[in-house]
Amino acid sequence: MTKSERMEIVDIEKDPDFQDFLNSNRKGIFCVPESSTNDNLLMADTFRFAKWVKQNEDKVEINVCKGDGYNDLRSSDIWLPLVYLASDISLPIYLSIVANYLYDYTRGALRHDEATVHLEAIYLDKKKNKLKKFTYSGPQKGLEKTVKKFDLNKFMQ
Amino acid sequence: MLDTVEAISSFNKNKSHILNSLSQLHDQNFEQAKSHISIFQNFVEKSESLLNNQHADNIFNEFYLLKVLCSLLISYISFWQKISKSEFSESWVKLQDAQDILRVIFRLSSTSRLPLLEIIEKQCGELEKLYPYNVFMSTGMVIKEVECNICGKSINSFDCEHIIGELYRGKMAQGRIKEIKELNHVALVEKPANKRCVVKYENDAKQFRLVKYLGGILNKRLLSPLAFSNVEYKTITLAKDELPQISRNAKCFCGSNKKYKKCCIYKETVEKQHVDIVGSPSIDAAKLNNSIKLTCEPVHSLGVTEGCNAPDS
Repeated sequence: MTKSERMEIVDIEKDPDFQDFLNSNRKGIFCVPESSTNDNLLMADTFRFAKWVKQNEDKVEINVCKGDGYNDLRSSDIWLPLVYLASDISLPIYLSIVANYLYDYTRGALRHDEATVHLEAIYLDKKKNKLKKFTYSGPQKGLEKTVKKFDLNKFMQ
Repeated sequence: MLDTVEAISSFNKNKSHILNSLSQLHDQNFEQAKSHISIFQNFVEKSESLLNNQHADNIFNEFYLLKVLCSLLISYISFWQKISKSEFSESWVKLQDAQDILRVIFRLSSTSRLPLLEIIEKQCGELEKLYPYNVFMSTGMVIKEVECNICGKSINSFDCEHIIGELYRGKMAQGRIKEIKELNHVALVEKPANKRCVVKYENDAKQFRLVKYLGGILNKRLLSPLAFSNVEYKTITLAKDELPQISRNAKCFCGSNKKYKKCCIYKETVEKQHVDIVGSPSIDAAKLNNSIKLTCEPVHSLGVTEGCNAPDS
């Protein structure tokens, strides 16, 4: 992992919104507003991602929480929405969907373009019955490589 | 780049205009170069107008690509024209236009990339290194409503099936912002969405000295636009008698910002930053059309050194 990359999985305290999501028996991926602000804002590209998943990953259900607006940062970075993962979508499956999306998204990149990707996912570690938050921030090319190296099982224990 | 018989046929019938345009660009006849592209574009639009409802979506999409190819070449030619006319600030915008269009073409092309486009891509990346821009302005805003330009529905809903940036029967889906809730910041960033948001320098500003040097060798016909290859930054060691004489109290040659008398006055050699503009010996347009070959004069390592007189000055 390079200096510009950051990947971590941390335990988080109870999240009432995530608990509501689990209780609702929803399936798949649920895109929710950013956790860093109280403004209930979705990232600008949330629906671009959600529609892509709907059209390209037909076995995966994806929904978007209603927000109060969209945060548009006008940056060359790729900001994926914060997502809640239901029990039928494991973190590795979600990351593989993201990798496919990013491959498609950056198909037109020039050789000197360097996209930085930001993504967050909250899910329930069933074995430990603990909430976990996965965060990645770094180069798009590094994501796949880093995910492969990352011993996800270790973090699932 | 193209798959469908209709688009390939339209391209092949009229590609001589692209080659003529490149030939004119090589000779730095910029207006003539652009007029050949306009002729090509007219032919493409005429062929497209013959399509009807029976034709598949991908045929319309490939005609869109051909039109975008024309925009790319116009931007690329305009870039070199601006350099030649010492309109350096404006040339940066044309350089960004060309790169944005290249991204669209690469993203939407289903097959391999045209060699010509790969040459332009490489050139653009290298040309950027000659400009003084490292930090850009980027706005942050909260958007309330964005409308799809194709169906008119909110693009941020599943009611609209269009994805921004994708082609739908020859039309690119785009979001039109209908309501901005808040423009909340302007940040200085290294990687903006739009590199045109820069601090604007006057065209005779010293920050453009490298681009000015490029314009100088272009106008002296020491370099053809198509023969530009890359830029090399390096440190070179010069004997002091190779440098112009300066007074003891002048700033030192070496760029230390110290007075000469307190810096390199007793040294026999001086290390200086040097930039080479490297040309490629030939551009083989035969990859585009086996019957035509454009050859440029060999150019190697024309360089400019900080503090030395450039050939154009």
